[in-house]
Amino acid sequence: MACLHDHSCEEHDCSSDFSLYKHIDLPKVSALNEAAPGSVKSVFKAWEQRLDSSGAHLESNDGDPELLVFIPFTSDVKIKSISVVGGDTGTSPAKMRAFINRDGIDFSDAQSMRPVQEWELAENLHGVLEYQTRYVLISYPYFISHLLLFMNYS
Amino acid sequence: MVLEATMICIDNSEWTRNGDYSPSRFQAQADAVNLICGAKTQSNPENTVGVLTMAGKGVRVLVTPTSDLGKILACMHGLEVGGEMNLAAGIQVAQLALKHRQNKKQQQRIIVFAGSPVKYDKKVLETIGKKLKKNSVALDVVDFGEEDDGKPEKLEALVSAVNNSDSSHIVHVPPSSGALSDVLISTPIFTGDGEGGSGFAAAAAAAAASGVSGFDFGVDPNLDPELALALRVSMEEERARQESAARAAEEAARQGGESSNSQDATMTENVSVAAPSDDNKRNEQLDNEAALLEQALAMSMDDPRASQSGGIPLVDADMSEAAMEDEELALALQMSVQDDANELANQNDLNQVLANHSLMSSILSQLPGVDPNDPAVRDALASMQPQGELMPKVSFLILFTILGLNSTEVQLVKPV
Repeated sequence: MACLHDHSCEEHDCSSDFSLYKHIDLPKVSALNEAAPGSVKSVFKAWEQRLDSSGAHLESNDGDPELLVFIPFTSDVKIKSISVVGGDTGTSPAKMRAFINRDGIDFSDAQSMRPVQEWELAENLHGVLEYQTRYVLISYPYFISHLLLFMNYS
Repeated sequence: MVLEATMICIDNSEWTRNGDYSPSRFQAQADAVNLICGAKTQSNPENTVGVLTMAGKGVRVLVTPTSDLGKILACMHGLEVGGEMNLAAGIQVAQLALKHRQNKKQQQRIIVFAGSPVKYDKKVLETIGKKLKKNSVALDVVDFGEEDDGKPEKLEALVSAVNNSDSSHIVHVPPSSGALSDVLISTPIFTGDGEGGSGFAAAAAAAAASGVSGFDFGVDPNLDPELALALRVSMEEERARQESAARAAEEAARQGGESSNSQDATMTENVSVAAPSDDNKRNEQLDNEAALLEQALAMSMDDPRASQSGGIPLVDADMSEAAMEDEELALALQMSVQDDANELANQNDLNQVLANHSLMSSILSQLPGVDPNDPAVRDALASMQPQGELMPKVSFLILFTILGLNSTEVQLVKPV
């Protein structure tokens, strides 16, 4: 496992540091514009299975390369970094916007509102790339109960 | 019982003035809207429904999604018919209204009534549909009214663009199929994909079909057991109270009031007494007037005590209520209740009055709403003979049966 952080991974188990998987409220995860309803739930995996791509993928509808993923957490969390694994040959997301603690955002809102943070994503087939969140997000007021990720493929 | 926010888009364009659906396309549409609102709010108390009109001067939101059924029904009044329907704008405004719903957990649904021709082409409609699907808004379309060629296909294309795992539906209602609401009741638009709404739909369908609720007091004990129980209990109490009032009244009657006033008063009391003196557990199932009269006649022929079942159901309730509503009647009742009783009855007086057919006819002809030549009335008169104590009560029961529908016109107590 190649980790980009600066300690050796053999000694301690990264998974607890690096996965909020246990805190995601999986039954309530939802997405807009997904091709197969409910497929979003299967893309959140435990650290050990993060590279296991045999399950269902989350795909957007044909011809409409935008996705809105709504992730509620079971407890308030602080997010330090986000890693997104996409498909190859141009089907990985290129841009990502994050909104926190908001309900009922749709695509027009996601385009027009100011996100908490925005990233340009590179192709990340093996999950080695993590995108850090701003310090503001990690500091005190920002306990996160919902995270909304808007992903754009263009 | 899915939690849903619904926007209903009404077509109030000039095309809905047409009368090929009775009484007019617009009125049939309004009835259907009322039914749908009721079904939605009943299937889940947290459901909200909003209404907008698509024609007229422009798309106008009449009421934003609310769970208050009264507000929704009120806004349907006084709608004007005119203009041209703008389907695309209507759907977009509906989507906007849903976006700003208060409870974001509700699913979004739009119901469109399309009575006029659709001037947008298929491509535009499909784009609209895709946008709705992307924002997970479901769409139901009721295609009625104007039968444009191409209209059904356009609307089908729209619904299939929106459809996501069968949550969107389209219903075509041709003019020949009778009432719009009746047709809609059996469709998935009403039954909400076959869940809780179907209970309401079934009850509504049954009521529409039979024209009568068929339950005691018009309330389904399954739907509202407390209300049904309360109604039954209050009916029993009323009867018991009237019975005791009547006993005092009978004694007053036996005293023999000469003035037609008190006699009339006591007669009316005997009538309302006769109601409680009958069996208690009477089911209000017959409100057919002819059947009522038949039974009353049968009762007067036979031993009155023998055939006390069935008989004069709902009308008794009406009468006792009517008696209560009319102030003068109430006063008269009070008068007789307060009278101290002498034991002797002057029953003969009563019988004589009744036997006096000319007097009866004149009384009857003075009453509004009673035609002395009505065969039912004549039968009643003919059957009256001085037969016994219960006769006058039964005879006036017949009389009041006829009058039962005009309960406010019980004017016997007023000085003639």
